[in-house]
Amino acid sequence: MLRFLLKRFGFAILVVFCVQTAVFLITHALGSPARLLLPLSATDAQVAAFSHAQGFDRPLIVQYFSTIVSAAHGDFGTSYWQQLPAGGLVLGRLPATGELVLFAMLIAVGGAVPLGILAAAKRDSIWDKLAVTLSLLGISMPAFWLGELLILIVAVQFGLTPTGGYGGPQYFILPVITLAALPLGRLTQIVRSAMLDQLDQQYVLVGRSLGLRTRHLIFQHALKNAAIPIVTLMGWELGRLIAGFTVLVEVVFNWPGVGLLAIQAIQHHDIPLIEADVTIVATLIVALNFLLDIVYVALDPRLARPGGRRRARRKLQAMDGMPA
Amino acid sequence: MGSTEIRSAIPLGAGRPDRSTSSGSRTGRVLAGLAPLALVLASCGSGGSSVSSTVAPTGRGAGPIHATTHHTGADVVNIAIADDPSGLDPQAFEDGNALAIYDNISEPLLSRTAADNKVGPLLALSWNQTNPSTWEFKLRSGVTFSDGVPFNADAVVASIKRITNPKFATEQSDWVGDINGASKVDDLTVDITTSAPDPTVPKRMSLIMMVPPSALTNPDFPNHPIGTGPYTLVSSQKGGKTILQANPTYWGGKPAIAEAIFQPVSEPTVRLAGIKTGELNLVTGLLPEQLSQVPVAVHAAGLEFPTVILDTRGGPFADKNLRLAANYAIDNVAILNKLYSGFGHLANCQLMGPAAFGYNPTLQNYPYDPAKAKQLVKDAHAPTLNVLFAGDASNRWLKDVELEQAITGYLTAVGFTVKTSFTDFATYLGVIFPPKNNATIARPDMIFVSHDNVFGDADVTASTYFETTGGGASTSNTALDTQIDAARHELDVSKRQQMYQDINKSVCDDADFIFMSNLDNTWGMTSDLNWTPRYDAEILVNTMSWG
Repeated sequence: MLRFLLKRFGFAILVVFCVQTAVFLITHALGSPARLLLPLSATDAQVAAFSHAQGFDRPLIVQYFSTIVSAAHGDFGTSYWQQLPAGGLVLGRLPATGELVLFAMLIAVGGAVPLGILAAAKRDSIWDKLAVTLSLLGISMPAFWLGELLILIVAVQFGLTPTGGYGGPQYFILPVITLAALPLGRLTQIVRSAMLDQLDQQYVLVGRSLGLRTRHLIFQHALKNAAIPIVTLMGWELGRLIAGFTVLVEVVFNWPGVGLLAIQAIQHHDIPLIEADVTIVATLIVALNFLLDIVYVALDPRLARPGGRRRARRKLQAMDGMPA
Repeated sequence: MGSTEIRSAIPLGAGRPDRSTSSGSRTGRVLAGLAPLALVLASCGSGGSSVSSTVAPTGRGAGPIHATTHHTGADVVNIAIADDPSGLDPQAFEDGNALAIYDNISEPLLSRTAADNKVGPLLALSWNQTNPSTWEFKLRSGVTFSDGVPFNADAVVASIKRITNPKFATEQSDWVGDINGASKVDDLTVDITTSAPDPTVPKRMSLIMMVPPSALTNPDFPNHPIGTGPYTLVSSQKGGKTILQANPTYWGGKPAIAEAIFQPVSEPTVRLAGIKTGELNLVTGLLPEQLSQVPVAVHAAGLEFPTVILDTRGGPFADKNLRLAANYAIDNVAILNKLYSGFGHLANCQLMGPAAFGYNPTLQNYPYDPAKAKQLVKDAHAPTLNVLFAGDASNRWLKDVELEQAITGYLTAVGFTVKTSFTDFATYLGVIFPPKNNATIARPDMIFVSHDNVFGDADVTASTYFETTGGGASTSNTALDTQIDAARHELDVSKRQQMYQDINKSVCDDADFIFMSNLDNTWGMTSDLNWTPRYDAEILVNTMSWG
């Protein structure tokens, strides 16, 4: 068990390091950012002086090692754009993204589990069809489109919510719905298919023949057995939300989170800020995956045994609708 | 002021009504599909009562009562800027979003007039050149910074010391230029010195902001700047709102609007939505076609002069007739109307507007004459007319890619074979500003650029794009170089102006560029706000009032 966790942890550190190196290489491939940061009419002498003051004229390998070493100490350098510590700027934006993702996940999970169960239990009924249609709608609507549509209808047409920005509860409604739509749709499908899979099992038939109530069978037995694929997809959705999906929603709703910050950092060619944003978000995702590993083991201790994960994955992939 | 007018929205482009109807019906269908969702939302929304419904687009003159319909209260103006400001330090940054905020907090020694960018008194009452590299400024008395510290010669000396410190690495180095120091003569007199004779010092002093001496030592100054201006900073949230409050002790009298909230809204469609609901009173950076949808659209001649730099050093455009052909080939009026909804006017065969020092009022664009262009191309008897067109594809400038495509189309129509290379901004910058540009370096035949002479002096344009050694120049003209050098060192104002007018004429006659348009700056406003936009696009809240 401990060996399993240590191995996963070592892996996690390696992933963060690789992400950081990749970001460094990509951002520095663009050349010296001095020209990008100064007005077009700046003279060559002004560009050279600015380059020197910011340390852009050091050899690339020196810049690389100083970047990696400082980042390991939590120092991502000074943002070119805002002239403030880049790590601090990202951390300052994290709570806003955290709130958005948290509420969106609550809505997605809180909606998907009952909907999926209802659809599976009343297979082929009107409820089933409604749940499937709704989930397909959630999956197929692009977030930027849904977001702008909601702004047009709810905020502009009916004036029920602000058009964007960050503030009290009314500011959360539209971005949370927009962000929740896709995971809600996908989770509903996976809950439905995992539950259908369980309800077709022999033990359910046996339980029924013994006179156990459907409700008891669903909540005491089938749901627990269906938990692994559901938790896997939940973790995957959560990671996806943090890693990229919030970017669109934050831009559309002008939400001051790490996603919007990433876009702004790229637009301003702010290399330290890009590095800080990507590294911190990558660290979060890796930490999340690590936590998920622990949850899996708690749900199914067989997974910690050598080869256990592979066997489990094969089993999961055999199930209907499961992303590999 | 002639070019500035307040217009209520009328659709300028043709063919738009069809499109809006079709999208309307699509919205309708989706709306029906989303009805259950909307019901849920309605029940959620009724709890939050602080958001008002849309402000009725009644005419002007509704009186101050009208303003109370804003959910933020009568005396707050909500302004959307396009992006987070780089920061609030008035001496560090030069981006428009930072300027929008700190222009209201801090002041320079001299002012610029709203319509034509002429230098006038502000914190300094008079100025004159005492020797070629020294300018003496007489300061206004009785001015204090908002924290009570008096504004005097010491503050000016400290401000110049701060911004010229190489370690400070200001982005405003193009404003500072050759200014290298300041010394106190008496409490209200100060000498500004330059490393070389510089006739543009007054213009520079209308851009460099004055900070209190404590800014040199207080590490928190960049976050909580203090100025002599009409507003003071209340709070600023990264990625969120920046709140300013009227400075009750402002030397120029208390402003009409008590509070201003600046918020970054990066999506133009969301800015548009915000002004439609009345959440925002003034928005910047709308797309031209969106301006027909705002309650009031205002515009003023701006600084942007999109143009194409032609390579006169080699290739097809070494032939002046082909440069003329390129100018005759392009229908600038059609481009202005179709692409920019008419918000702009022709550039008058130069890269600066009437407000810039050195503007030549006698010049006019080459007319659109495709027949003449075709004839010139034919007469060139060139075996091949392949031209490489380098442009920017990052949307840094309003509709840059669309404009580049239009130019390509017009040139193809008269017989050029245009090979385009529109790249990301970093790559593009490496092309237009190669590390060491001189007569021997090979340049693309055509490079797109949108030139903005913020500084308002012809020398900026000349030294960047006309002179052989200029970072963005594709020409090597010894006669022109001599003219530019002479103008730069001429200290007599009227002589100097004439010299730059001559330089602009030479460049026009030589057709070193494809001269196109000067685009307007545009804003959307709610109908209850009174505000006249400025040539320099500054958003001065103390010039606003409720109508």
